[in-house]
Amino acid sequence: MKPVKPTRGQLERQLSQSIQAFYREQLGHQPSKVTCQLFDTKIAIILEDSVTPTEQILNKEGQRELAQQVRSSLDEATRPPLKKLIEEVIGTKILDLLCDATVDTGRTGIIAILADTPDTRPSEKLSKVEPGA
Amino acid sequence: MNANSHHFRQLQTVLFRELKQLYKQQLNQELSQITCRVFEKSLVILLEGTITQPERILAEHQNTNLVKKVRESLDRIIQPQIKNIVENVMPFKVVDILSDTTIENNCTGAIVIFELENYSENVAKLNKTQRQKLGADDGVTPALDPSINKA
Repeated sequence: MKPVKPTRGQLERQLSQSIQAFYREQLGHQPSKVTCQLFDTKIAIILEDSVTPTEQILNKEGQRELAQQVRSSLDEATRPPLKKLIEEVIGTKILDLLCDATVDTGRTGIIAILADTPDTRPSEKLSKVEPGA
Repeated sequence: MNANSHHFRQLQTVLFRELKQLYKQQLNQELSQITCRVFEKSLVILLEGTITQPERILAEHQNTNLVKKVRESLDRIIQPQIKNIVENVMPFKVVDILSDTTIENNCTGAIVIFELENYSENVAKLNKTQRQKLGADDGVTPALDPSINKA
């Protein structure tokens, strides 16, 4: 029996959960919210509260530059395993992975450029039945 | 195509023109392609052809650390200007902007996060020039359109 392809929404949700778990495992800090938007051959990912307490305290105590530097280095270090994880979840190669974070807002933004459009099936929307129809 | 998506396309045209001008004026760099997509509370922009000739030469001569440093600085300088352009063109307040560039792929990506709480008020507050830019003078509110566009 052929495995059922996920819908775009299911794939986005699965990716969000995997990314949330990835950051918990890698940095010991779980972002409060991860949003994934798949469009054509691209994925836009937004992570809320992605900055660790270490960076937060540095930033709060006037070491903003250092906090931002730590964040850039963490993004650089987590980039290869994150790329691998996204590729595994969506089943498509990534050509480019762009990543940036702001320590002030704790937000991280990631854009993945894919080699192909992920294989998904159309979502089954319930059709509206008019009363009396 | 409905009126709202028509307005959105007009708005995108202005956005693309301003972004191209920014790179031309600041870095004498011609962007080869701009792609953007609007979601519920964010705008994703992809700019292709952002790497300048000096950076390319540095990269070719293995000055990897220096070229990375230069690009990071350029992105930090350009970022607030992209924010200004988006805020001038679109009726939203920008609360965050995240951007990154890969030198090998000659591509910059930016995610702009909007504050959508005062959307209707913001549209109402647009000055005449902005409304003319958006083609919003006939009272139709520019809306978010999920279509993708390239320049």
